Amino acid sequence: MLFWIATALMAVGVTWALTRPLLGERNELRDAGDADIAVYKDQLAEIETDRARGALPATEAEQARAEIARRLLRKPITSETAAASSDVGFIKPTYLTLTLALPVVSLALYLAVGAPGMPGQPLDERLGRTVENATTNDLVARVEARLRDLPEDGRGWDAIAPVYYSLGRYEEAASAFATAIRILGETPTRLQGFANARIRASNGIVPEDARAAMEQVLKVEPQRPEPRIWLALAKEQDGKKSEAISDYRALLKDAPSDAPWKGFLEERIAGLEGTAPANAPAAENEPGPGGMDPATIAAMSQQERQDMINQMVSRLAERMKTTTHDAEGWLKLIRAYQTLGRKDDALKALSEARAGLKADETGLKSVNELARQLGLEG
Amino acid sequence: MIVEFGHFALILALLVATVQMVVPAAGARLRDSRMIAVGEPAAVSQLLLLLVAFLALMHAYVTSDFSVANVAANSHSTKPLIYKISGVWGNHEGSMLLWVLILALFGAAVALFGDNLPATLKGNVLAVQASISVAFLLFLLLTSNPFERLPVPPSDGQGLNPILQDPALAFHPPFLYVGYVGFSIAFSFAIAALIEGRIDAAWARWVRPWTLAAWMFLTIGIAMGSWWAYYELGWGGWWFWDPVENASFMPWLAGTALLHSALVMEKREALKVWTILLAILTFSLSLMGTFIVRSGVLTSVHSFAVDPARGVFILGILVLFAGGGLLMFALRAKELRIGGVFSPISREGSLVLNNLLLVTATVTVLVGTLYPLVLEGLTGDKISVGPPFFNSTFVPLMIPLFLALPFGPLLAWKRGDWLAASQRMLAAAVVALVALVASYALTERGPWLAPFAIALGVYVMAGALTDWAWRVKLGSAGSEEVWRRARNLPRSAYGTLLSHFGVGLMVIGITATSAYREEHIVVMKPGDHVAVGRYDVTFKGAAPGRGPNYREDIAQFDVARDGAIVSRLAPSKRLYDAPPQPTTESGIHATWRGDLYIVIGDEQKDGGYTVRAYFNPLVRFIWFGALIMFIGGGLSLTDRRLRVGAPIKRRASPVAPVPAE
Repeated sequence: MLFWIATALMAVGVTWALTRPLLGERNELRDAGDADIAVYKDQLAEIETDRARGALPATEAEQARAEIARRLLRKPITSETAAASSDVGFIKPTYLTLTLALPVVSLALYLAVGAPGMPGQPLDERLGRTVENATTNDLVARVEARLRDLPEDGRGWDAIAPVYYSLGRYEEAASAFATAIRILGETPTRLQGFANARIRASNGIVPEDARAAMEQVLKVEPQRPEPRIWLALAKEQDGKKSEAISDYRALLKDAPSDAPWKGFLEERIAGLEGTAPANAPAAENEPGPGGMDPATIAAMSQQERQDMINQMVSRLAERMKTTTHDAEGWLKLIRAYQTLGRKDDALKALSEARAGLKADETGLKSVNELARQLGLEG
Repeated sequence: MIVEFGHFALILALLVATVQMVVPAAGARLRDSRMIAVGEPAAVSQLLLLLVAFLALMHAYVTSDFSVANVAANSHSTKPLIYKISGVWGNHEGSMLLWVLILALFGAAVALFGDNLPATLKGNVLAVQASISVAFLLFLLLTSNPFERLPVPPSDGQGLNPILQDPALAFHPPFLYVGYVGFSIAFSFAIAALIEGRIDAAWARWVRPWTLAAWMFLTIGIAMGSWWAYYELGWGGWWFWDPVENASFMPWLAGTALLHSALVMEKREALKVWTILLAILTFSLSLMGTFIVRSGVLTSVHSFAVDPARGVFILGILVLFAGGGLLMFALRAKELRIGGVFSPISREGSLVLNNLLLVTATVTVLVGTLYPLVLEGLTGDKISVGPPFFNSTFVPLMIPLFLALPFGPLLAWKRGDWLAASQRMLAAAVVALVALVASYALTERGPWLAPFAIALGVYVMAGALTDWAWRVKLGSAGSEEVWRRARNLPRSAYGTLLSHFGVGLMVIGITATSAYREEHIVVMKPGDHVAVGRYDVTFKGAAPGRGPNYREDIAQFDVARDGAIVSRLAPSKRLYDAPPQPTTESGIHATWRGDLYIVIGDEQKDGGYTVRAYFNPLVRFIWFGALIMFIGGGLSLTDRRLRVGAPIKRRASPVAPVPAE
């Protein structure tokens, strides 16, 4: 409310100030020639003062006066009496236009581009919010502020690390987990959190420090599936296919029957063993399902999973527009369209792939092979 | 709420500027005093509204309100307060807001102090000034709105580029902008004169002081930027002919020419048409500087805005105002009456020479700056035009300029006596000759031309003093008379003296630093020594440290001269938290004779550090010279007398009188 009062006052005040001169009397404009003469008169007076002060010797004062006199003479004798045109009635329309347009148009523009009534959110105020009213970011800011003052507060780091992770700030999550581990000691949860953050920060590749952390986890909890899956994936990324397959098999054997990641493991095995060229998704540029940690995928609802898949497919399709010679990418895209039941898209991608792979004989062959397998030729 | 209030004020300012653009101009056309009078409250309201908007944004920065996208993208809660404030203009949107604020400030100054201007002229000037405001406010609101909000504010901001977190750079943009934008006044007056088809006597009285003020701020702004580059970028240089530097240097050169031609116009009512053309060109160069920096056509440290939409918009503004201004000039200039006549050897003549040389120099810099851009646009080749180009084109133009510089003030208006002026310059020439011989004697190495350049600097300084000595009759009158004359000499004469003296100092500083600089690049372990200039530098070691928003490796150096320690330097390498970027902090031991300048590099495998140590002789003269020029300009600005330049009569009194300023 206060905002609208202040805004209205400002708009009205400005409108008033701008229109006021229009309500006054019309003055005869001083002729421009007169203005010049006024300047010359000022100058003459100035010379006189200077001379009287002794700052200007008499001879110079005389010359300066002569100079001004010359300028006066140079002025055209006929002063431009460009005749004040009679009042042709511009004042009233101008007045009305300004009075209406200034407040109305400014308000309309503001409503179009502004965020009316949205309060400011200074950091201090956000830090003081009650937990119920605070957003995640407010709480993060609060913990961050606290950790700047007390950098050795391990519990703070422990609390903020998973939040960073869920906000997608993986680098910071990894460093927070590492700090918590340094201060409070190793636990499987912290180590695994660190490993997950590092993996996500490296776009799905399992880096060396993450691998070491997960091996540490397995020493305490040898049956924990998460690190086992990742370590198997790491082997796949390293090209150790048979070891990866046997690890996946062992995981499948130990898996409870309702484990959500069973399907994922079967896919991996099929991918590694199958005739279709296996693609290690975790090593791809775009994060594939392999780049997600299995626990996250499992935790998603059906709809979320679907959305995620659709997003990834459209990202891939986008990328293929520029990298038309990438046979692997085409195979993946065509297969994905087929799986999603988008046959038209699959056929379109197929023809695009054939165009893009003209120079790549083996690539073209595998695309044709896939098309035959999927029954796209018809 | 304050943020939204600022946003509304910004929008209202656009409308007010539109009114100011249309109504007073229409009033001048209809010769209606009431419509012209709308310009005054409009200019003042526009200033106040933009001030509200600017302060609202500043409030958001100071309170770290990350619900404002601009604050979230450019600030950080741990930044020291001064950089939260300077962060307002340390980014594209905020700096453009500052730009229009200063523009409105100049417009309001015309409205408030322009009582002695003929009404139609004032109306037209305010309208032209407002048209620039409208263009830039549209630019702000359409492409770079500083008040965009984020529904979910992030936990903290992205931070300000660490190399901008520095006191000199915090206040460099405002000075630079006052300079750039100040030339808008000269532009608006020029266009208004073209609209009216006549130049009033009050015209020059207005244009000169405002041009002078803009020139002063541009001078100090450029000097601050150069000083910052010197100690912050850590390569020991102070000017790189970088396109961004050139972008501010071109309006400065043209502005210097404008300043001098406006002087002729004020005192002699001559060079009117030329002054109008220069005013248009100078402001066009300011706009082009803004375009170069703000559009992201360059990739250098200054270009933090890379967005083609913005670039095209500013290019449109540039084309509209520069092209429109020049078109109007082409159409209307012939209606203006040419002013007084003068012989080539006269004060006016010398100022014309000054103008020719400065404008040629401007064109040189313009070619060197734009050629790579145009070439890249046409062929895609990326080339850089560096110091060699400018040294062989720009520098030769400065030599005749500086040689002629001291003569100008010594010549009388309208018709001068070249011989008499030369005789008076004899003393200065002798001093310069002594300096030449002395420089050869004192320096064992360095380019053979350098002593000549130093002598040129000394000659300019001595010439400036000669002018003063002649005016107060030093040596030819009694001390009482000299004192009386010195006191009565107008402040503008002292302004000229100081500004020209500052130029001489600068020439000496530039020459000495460029020609006689010492450079050592060594790997040092704790305890190692290196001899730099007259100093013996000992590396004591390096240790990590922590600042408010950065971590650093800070090194310790003992600097000894003749066995006694004169200074301890602590250059460091910083890594800022947000954004995580490294910077170098140089260690400088500054004296009049020169700076010892140490930068620490990377740690080597064996525990040593790469250390770069320079001795930059007389480098302070460069910025000290600029400061003196600034003060000289200020002195001249406070001299508020009406100025008439009267030519002396051909056979005047036996003793040549002092020309009145």
